[in-house]
This record gives sequence, C-alpha cells and structure tokens, in this order.
Amino acid sequence: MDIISTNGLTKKYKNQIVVDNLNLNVKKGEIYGFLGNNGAGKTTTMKMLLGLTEPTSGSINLFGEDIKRKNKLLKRVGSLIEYPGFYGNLTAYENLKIFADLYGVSKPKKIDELLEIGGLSQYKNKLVRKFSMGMKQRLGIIRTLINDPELLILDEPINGLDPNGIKEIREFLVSLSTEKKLTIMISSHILSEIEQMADKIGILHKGALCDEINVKEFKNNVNKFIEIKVNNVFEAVRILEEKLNIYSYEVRKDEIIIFERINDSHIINKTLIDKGLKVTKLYVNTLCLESYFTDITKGRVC
Amino acid sequence: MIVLIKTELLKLKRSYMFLMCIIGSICAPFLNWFVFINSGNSEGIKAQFLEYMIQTNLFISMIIGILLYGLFTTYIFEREFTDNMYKHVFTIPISKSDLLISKIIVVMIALLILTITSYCFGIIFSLLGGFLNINMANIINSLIFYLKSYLIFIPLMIPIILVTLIFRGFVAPIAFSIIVEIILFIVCQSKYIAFYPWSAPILLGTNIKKNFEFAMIGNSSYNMISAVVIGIISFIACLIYLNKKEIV
Repeated sequence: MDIISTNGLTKKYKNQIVVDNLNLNVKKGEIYGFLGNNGAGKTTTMKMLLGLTEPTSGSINLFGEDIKRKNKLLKRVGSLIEYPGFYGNLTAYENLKIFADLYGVSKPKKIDELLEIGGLSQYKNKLVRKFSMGMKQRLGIIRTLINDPELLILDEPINGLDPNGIKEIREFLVSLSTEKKLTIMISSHILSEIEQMADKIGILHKGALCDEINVKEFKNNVNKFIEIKVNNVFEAVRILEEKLNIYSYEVRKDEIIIFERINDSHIINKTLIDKGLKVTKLYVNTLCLESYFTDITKGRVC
Repeated sequence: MIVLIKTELLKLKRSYMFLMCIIGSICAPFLNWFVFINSGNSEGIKAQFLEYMIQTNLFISMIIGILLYGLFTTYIFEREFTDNMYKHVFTIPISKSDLLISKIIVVMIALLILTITSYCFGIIFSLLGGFLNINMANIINSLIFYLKSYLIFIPLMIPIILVTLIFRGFVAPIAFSIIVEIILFIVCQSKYIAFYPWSAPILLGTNIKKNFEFAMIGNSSYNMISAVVIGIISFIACLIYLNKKEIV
C-alpha cells in the first residue's frame, strides 16, 4: 500500500513553478530520501503533504485517503519541517508536554520514554533556549514521535548534528523503519547519509522529479572504474590497448580512468610495471550517489 | 479548547514579557500615588481614595492600557512566529479558529490579572498614603470602574492581533498602538470623543464623561458599540486570514 501518493502535484507562486507535476509513491515501511539543491522544491512538497500549503493543482493521498480530510490523517503523521521550533522559556519536558497535550496523548510515561530514546533524559528540566543546535534537532526528532505516528516527514533533520549524533539518528530512524514498520520521508543535503539509510531516493531538480533510485539496485549496478596515475600516460595507453585489449577508458590530465575489467586491476598494475612504467596510483573507485546527484542536477535538464 | 488554553498558559511560564507587563501595570498606581501625595502635601489635605483610583484608571485607559496590553497581546501571537512554532502547531490536527480563540482567552486572562494587579496596588498605595474614604463602597465602586475598562479593552485588542498576524514582528503592532494613542489624545480634547472606539475605556471606566457630555456629539455609548463592532470585524478578519493565508 502507498502511504504517500501524489498525482500531478504542482505549486506555483505567481509565475514561478516551485513544484512541477510531481508523482510520488512511498510504500509502507519504506525510507524515502528526498534529494535536491536549495530551492528544488523539497520543503514546499513536504509542506503540501502536511497541509501547510495548498497545492495549485494535483492531488495528495496519505494512507490511501485524500489530504482534504487532513485533520484525521495528520493524527497519524509526525513531522519536522526546516529547523525545529521550541518555546525557549520552557524545558525540554514542558515543550514535549505541550505537543503531547495537543495530540491528546494520555500515556504519562511517553515523554520520559522519548527523552530516553533521544538521549536527553538528563536535560529534561533544562530550558530549551540553553540547548545546542544538535540537542534541539534531537528534541525536534523525538517530538515527531509523540503521537506514535505511522508516517514521519522530516525535512533536513540531521542539520546541526555532530558526526556521532548523525550516526545515532540514522540508526534510530532505520530501526524505526525496520522494527515498527514506520514509513519515513526524509530530505537532506548530506547525500552520504541518505544513501546509507534510504530504500528509495527521489531526486528533485527545479521542482521536477528527475529520477527515483532504488538504493539497493544502485549499489549493485553502480558504475565502478579504475583510476591510474603513471609517469607516461601515452605509453600506458598503448600498453592497455595492445597488451590488455582495454579500449573503454578516458585520459584526464595525467590520469587514466578505465571502465572495464574492473576485477583485473592487479593484472593491469603488473603489466604496466613489467613494461617499465612507474605506477604512482591505482585504485578501484565507484560512482557515488553524490557524483550521480551532481551529474543529474548539473547536466540533465528535467 | 481547555487543552489549548492550558497549553497557552504553560507557554507563559518563566515568560519575561508577562513579568514586565506586571511591573508595567504597577507603574500607573505608583506614579499617580506620587502625584496625589505631592498635591495633597502642597494643599495640606489628604487625597480622596476614589478620586485617586479613578485617576489611576484614567491613566491606564488613556496611556498604559493601549501600549502595555497591546504589547502583551502582540507577544502572545508574535512569539509563535519568532519561535518558528506555527508550522509545527498547524501540523497537529487542531482548528485554527480554536487556536485563535484560545489565545484571545489567554489575553483576556492576562489582561484581567494586569487590571487586578493595578487595582490591588492602587489600594495598597492608598493605604500607604493614608487617603481618605477608603471604605467598602468606594472599594467596590472603583473595582467596577476598573472592570468596565478591562472588559471594553478586550475587543480593542483584536485589531492589534490582526496587525500582528498580517505584518508579523513587534514593529507594526507597536506603531499601530502609538498611532491609536496619538489619535486618542487628539480626540479626547474634542467633541467627537464618542466616535472613537479607543476612548471607550476612558468613558466607561472613569467618571470624566460628565465633563464631556455637555459638549459631546452623540451618545457616550457610541464608542462602546463601535469598540465591540471593531472587535468583531477584526476577529472575523483574523479567522479569514488564518484560514486562507499560508502563514508558515
């Protein structure tokens, strides 16, 4: 079942198209990574999914129901849009209490449980205005769980977190997805993080969905290549062609990039050395999501 | 609704703004106390309690009220923008109308606390100054004056809410309050006082209307009605704005 489904979703501000004919489908239990440059339309899309912004055209279905009945649907959603806001004069506990009351959460231990999950138990009585950015971000993420949501919509949730914090949040979100079958839609600029946690990635460019990548497939079928640096590029190229029958390559400055016989890097290395060349660098590289993303957003017109 | 009001009240915990407003509400009785003590000393007689209380309420209705109450009202609505909270709150399934009403109720509660604070400190300062005729009848009479001003201040705060929602930030509502105040000073000295909604707390909450009635055009209830009408129109405008405009 599709937890999120949009059809021709479009948002225009005056004459500017911010989101252009977006068709998204996010399945139950899936972590959907939403990638895009600043101004690509990620936040606007998420705001439309949450009913904070009205679409100009198109439709949104959450849990198979039209978003127009949003009050009923929003009870099942937790969200964090842009940076998390808090009442600075209140403690972490009091801030969560406000949201728990508004959602009608009756479980008395719920707030303590969430503070424990977020590693903020010892700061429960600390004023939020004294929190660091990372602590606020964590508090923001655990606040999204106050109503036991089935769907989490998180816009740049790992901004401001230190590397350990990012790792903890990543592991936490993955565990929510696997253990509780929570569906998560997450946007981030940290592509490597998205790559590590998402099942599917949608690349948004200038409001349009350029590509949707199944991360597992991407990792399996990814373009690998061998990078070589030698003292004589022309001689090396001649050897590659004549001795090893390698023709799929590129010469970039003083480096040779080989796109075939990836598993024969040791043979290539030995052959070049045997022919008297000095190999100063040789390694197998992979086309990472970041490069793929850059290629798409810079090179491809959607 | 009760939950919304409870959460709005919780948001005021440790709020410097409310503390500042409480201090501000003590200013009127304190400053007037000095005036009455000095005038009493120069004439060699003690000031009258009721006169002091009504003059203090005039001071509140004319100067402190619009600015102080306006500032607090702005704070209640503006802080959600400052704290970046509207976009989080509006993802919770609560109605925007209920949120608006709950905030107005909190404003009403806070204004009542500020009014009662001014009133209580008025009595305390009267006792300290040894003012004359501090009796139950005058204590109740003065309370009625204060409560009348308070009640008519409530609809007059709603245009400030509208200005806060539309323009966001403190600048526009404070500028609006100052303009309202300047016009009030001008209108108060003219025969058109009954036509200006913001003069209603003065005419209702003090006994000075008898000074105007002989020269005043229209009935003194005109501005009370206009204050209520302006409050209702502003409330409807706030509801339309909140429900139509994407404010996050």
